Amino acid sequence: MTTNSPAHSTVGNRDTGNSVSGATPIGLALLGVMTVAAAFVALIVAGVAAGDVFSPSGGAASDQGVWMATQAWATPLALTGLAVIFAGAVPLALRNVRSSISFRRDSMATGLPKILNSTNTAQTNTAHTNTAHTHTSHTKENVR
Amino acid sequence: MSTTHSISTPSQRSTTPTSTPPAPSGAGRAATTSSRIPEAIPYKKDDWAQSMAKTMAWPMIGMGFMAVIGGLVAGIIGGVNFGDFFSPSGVTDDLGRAEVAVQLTGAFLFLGMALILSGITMTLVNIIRHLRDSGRDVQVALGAAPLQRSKPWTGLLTPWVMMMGLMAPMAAFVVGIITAVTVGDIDSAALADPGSASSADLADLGFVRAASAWLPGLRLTGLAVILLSVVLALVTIQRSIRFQGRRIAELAEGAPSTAG
Repeated sequence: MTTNSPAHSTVGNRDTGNSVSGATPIGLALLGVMTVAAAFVALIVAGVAAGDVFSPSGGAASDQGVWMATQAWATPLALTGLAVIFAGAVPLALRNVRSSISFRRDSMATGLPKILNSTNTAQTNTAHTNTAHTHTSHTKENVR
Repeated sequence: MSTTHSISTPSQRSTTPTSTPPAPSGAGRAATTSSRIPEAIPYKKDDWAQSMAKTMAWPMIGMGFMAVIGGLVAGIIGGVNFGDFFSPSGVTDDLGRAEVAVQLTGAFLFLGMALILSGITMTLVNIIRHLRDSGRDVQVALGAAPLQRSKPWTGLLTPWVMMMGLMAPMAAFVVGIITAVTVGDIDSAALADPGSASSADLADLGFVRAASAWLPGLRLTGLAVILLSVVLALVTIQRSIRFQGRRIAELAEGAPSTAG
């Protein structure tokens, strides 16, 4: 057994397995969710203002202004939050998946030949042992 | 730090039975009972979230698509009624029907999109399951103990975040139906001219306009939270693949050298 940790060995010299973190896509996704949530809060304010406009006492003109103005910018803000997730977090997460696949490919390209060679050697040794055993048996038969 | 697992249980197999070739002698023997990867744990079967994903992924997508089609039909009905209202022979009842259809359109469309996105999250969870089972088969074929990565925090959160996100569009769907019913109760003339509305109609109109203002925000917030669960599932896939690379490197290190 080697002394260095195989789990952290540099396989294929491309990616050590620890270079890419999942934190960035999650951070971007959280930023997007927060943006949409902020727009949602603003739209609640707009909804309250809209309700005041149609109240029996009659709403003020400022209520209608708040309703219209808030709705005008809050909906695009919510869509911007979704765009941050679609255009930032998801592509970044997919890029990280691709990077992990490359890492696994390098591990397999380096590790599988070694494993297969050891398997072949073990099988050859077993075959030699069987042949030698058979040969010895035949020799004993001849001696008899 | 070395983590040791005692494993001799091929009976722990599988949700998806596959034929595995007999284990070759020699290869990976040194690593059969231990792993130095801190996250490595013995192979485990599906938990409740993975079983749910296995069962529900395609039905969710199918239901979501049908809901979107329902929204499209409601939108067409609304458009036809708006066209009738603004035609020379238009009556105010057309406007009432159109307003009801508009409320139903938003309710069904966003519910459908939420169901489809939830189905996509479940499909990603199924990919994670498949990666785990494939890794098990490869390790068994190499004569090593089947280990898997312990569930990262992203994987633990994924189903809960997805369900939390799905609750918001479902609640918005219910409120949307209530809003549509409320619009249907309002006198059509009051819809066309709120100044002539009775106080009851005015109150209903206020509720409808208020709900129309904040409902899209609730729907989009729900979709954003479901998308967050998609990102969490993708990060879990990334970590699962990375674990497999490290495990192969470990098995190669444990294989006897042929140089000597």
